Amino acid sequence: MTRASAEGLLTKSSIDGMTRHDIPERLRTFIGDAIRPGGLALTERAADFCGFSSGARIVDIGCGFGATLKHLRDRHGLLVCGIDISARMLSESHKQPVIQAVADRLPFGAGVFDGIFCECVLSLLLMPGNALREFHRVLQPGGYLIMSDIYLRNPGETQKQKIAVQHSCLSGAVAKFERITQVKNLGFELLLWEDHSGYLKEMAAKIVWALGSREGLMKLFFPDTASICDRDAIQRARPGYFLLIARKKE
Amino acid sequence: MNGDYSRPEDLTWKCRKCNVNLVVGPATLSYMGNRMTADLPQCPVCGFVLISEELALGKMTEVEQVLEDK
Repeated sequence: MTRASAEGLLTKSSIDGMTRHDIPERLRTFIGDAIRPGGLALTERAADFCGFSSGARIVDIGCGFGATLKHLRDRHGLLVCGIDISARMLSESHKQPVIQAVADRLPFGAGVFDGIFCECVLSLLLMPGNALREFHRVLQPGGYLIMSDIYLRNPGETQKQKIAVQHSCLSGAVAKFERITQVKNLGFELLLWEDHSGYLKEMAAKIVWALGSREGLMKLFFPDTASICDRDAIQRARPGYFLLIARKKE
Repeated sequence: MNGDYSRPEDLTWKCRKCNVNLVVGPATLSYMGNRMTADLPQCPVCGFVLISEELALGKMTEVEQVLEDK
């Protein structure tokens, strides 16, 4: 087994600090091109739920290496495009139609998409509300917002102790009620919320297996600058994983 | 779950039943309803898998604790 160095997995954000930390690209070696809990299984679950017609126009926010784009195009015949902040990841997106852009300034006109996929991305953003407003703008009325992300199953723990660090995607996670309220307040109708925390555990297990220890996992998601108290508070908050599907109101 | 876990000394073992040397290959591990695949030393004939004490008490225990939600 190759022993990977967890410290070597983090990189500086390339565009004015928009993300809390860049997605550790070496996660790809542990879990494949779909760098998130659940991989393409949740993508497929959502696509089936929405029942998109062939040729429906879809954008994938934070498309990374393009795994979702390829899946939706090949399996469902959708017209796909993706955006991501990482030029390097886009360069390996297998000739998919992609644009380097940030989630809260989408380079698209209003009402042009039938669906938006945002998979394990929102909790990385400094201003998720701005991104959600952009999602609402570029969706046509009745269009679907498909979001999967980390959430806190015991959020009171982080409220007791103010989390000082903003380095981890886990510190961008919020409670179920907070995320649903945010989505509804921006003009979406909630259609589905499902807990898929088992996928988060499964991904954590894969990383621990590859790195050899839970400490390796912690170092991956919490840089040395994160205090032990912050790490403990987030662990007590019991991070989980959800799939949310909402529709832009007519 | 992929990931090669084998040490040179593991491959000096022979399967007593089949009398052949172990080779590294994919093995399915299951714990609390979670299934994962890892490359482990095993008999190429009957598929019997060798899990060393170091592996069982080391990262296999760490993975179990993750799956137990601890």
